[in-house]
Amino acid sequence: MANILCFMEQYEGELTPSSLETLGQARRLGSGLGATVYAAVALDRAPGYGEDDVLAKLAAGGADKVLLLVGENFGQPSSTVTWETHGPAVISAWDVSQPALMLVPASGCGREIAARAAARVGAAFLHDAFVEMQGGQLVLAEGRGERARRLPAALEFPVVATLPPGRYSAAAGDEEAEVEVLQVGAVQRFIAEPAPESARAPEPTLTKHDGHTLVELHSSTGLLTVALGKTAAQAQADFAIEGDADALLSGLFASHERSMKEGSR
Amino acid sequence: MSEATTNPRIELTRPMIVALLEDARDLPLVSIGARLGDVVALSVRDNASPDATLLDALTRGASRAVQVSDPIFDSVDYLAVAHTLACAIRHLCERLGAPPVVVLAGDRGRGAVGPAVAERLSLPHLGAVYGVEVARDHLLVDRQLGSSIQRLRGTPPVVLACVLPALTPTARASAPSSTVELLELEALHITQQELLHRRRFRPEPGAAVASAPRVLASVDRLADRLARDGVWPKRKAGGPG
Repeated sequence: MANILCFMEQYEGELTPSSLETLGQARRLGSGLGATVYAAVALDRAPGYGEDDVLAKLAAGGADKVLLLVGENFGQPSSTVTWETHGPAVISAWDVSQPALMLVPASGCGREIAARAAARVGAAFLHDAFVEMQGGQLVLAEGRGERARRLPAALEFPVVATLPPGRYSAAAGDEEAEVEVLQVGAVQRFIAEPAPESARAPEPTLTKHDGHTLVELHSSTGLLTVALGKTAAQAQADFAIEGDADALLSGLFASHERSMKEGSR
Repeated sequence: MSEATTNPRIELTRPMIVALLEDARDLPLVSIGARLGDVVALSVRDNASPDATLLDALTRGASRAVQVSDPIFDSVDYLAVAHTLACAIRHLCERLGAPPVVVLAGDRGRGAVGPAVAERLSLPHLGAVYGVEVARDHLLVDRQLGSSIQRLRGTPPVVLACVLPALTPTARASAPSSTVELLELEALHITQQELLHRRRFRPEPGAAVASAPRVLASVDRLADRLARDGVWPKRKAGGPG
């Protein structure tokens, strides 16, 4: 087995939980397969002395090697991630690590990058994937129920997969990681500017599944689903909150509304 | 009065917009494109029967509908499809003597074809596009990023992978005034052989992997977790619980 590469996403300067979960699963796969785990993270500058919090988190989270992708474009908030800004960095990381498997959190940023990276290197692509060891064998799958699909486990060709939030756990260790710094540049043709005041993301949408309550968040991309109440719908969900489904649903939408109002002040 | 641009490279008066239609769920792309220019609806299919989605696209405002047909599309992966679409776009551009300004794809499900077409055409792409408009010689693109909207300004050509449910079009009642144009691989200078090797990259039906959700104690725990992923609006510190 060759290498596993994880692209780590940051939000407001912090590694996202989804990224750390993705890295954690890469660690488990790496240990099972004897693979080296690379974590690639984009920063506007390499951390100085005493500023190695990111490196420590990546090492503790399971990385054998950390690729610091350093470029001036990365100083912007994470919400400006596009293929133009981050694609060259991702490909640099790919070239260095030569992975058999690349894992990316299935966030908005992950969707922006993963499929394009797969196309660039000619890899197979799995969305919202299951990547795990079962009986000593690697499983590469996506979809649930009748829509379940699998790739051959032998990794005869490179695979890029996105992992949804919550599917796997972050890892916690006390190992150290090797660090390599890659300087990368990018040419941007699309530049962020302030969105109009009227612009507002769509509300979370609600779907009903077999009479149970299943909330789909960021539904345009099917980013994740939440089962409310202890129901059979849990088998379809990424997260679950047990209790009275109707009350939880009201609470969820009230929380969203409250947060939107606070955020707009 | 036309809004002709001063940009010598790109004429946005009635640019060519290519809408990639995988199935009927992508039809809103035709309406999005029609606000920007002349829409060519394009798809690949595994048979040569005129595709109902393309016929529907013509009734909804597409000026042309083009279908690339070959049985091999029943068994190849996203990249073989994207390669073919990219070749078809180049073919159409050569015939028209003009580059496409915008290629529209649906950003749903796996969302792989749009970015892969962009890769094959060496164009930038933007995903989670929630709205797009022309402003003189550039585009204003609104993207949905988790709980917020981001506006980007840039010049075409570009591939835009669009969030579709929020852009549902109004159907036209009239019958299509033109027919679906059929293209074969040969016309695109593609052989079946060069697509065949992508068969093994395609995930095949198999047993589902059993999974259990991450169980959280409360709505607030979920909101806090999702806020740290950037997909839920962040509450201000000290705000009401």
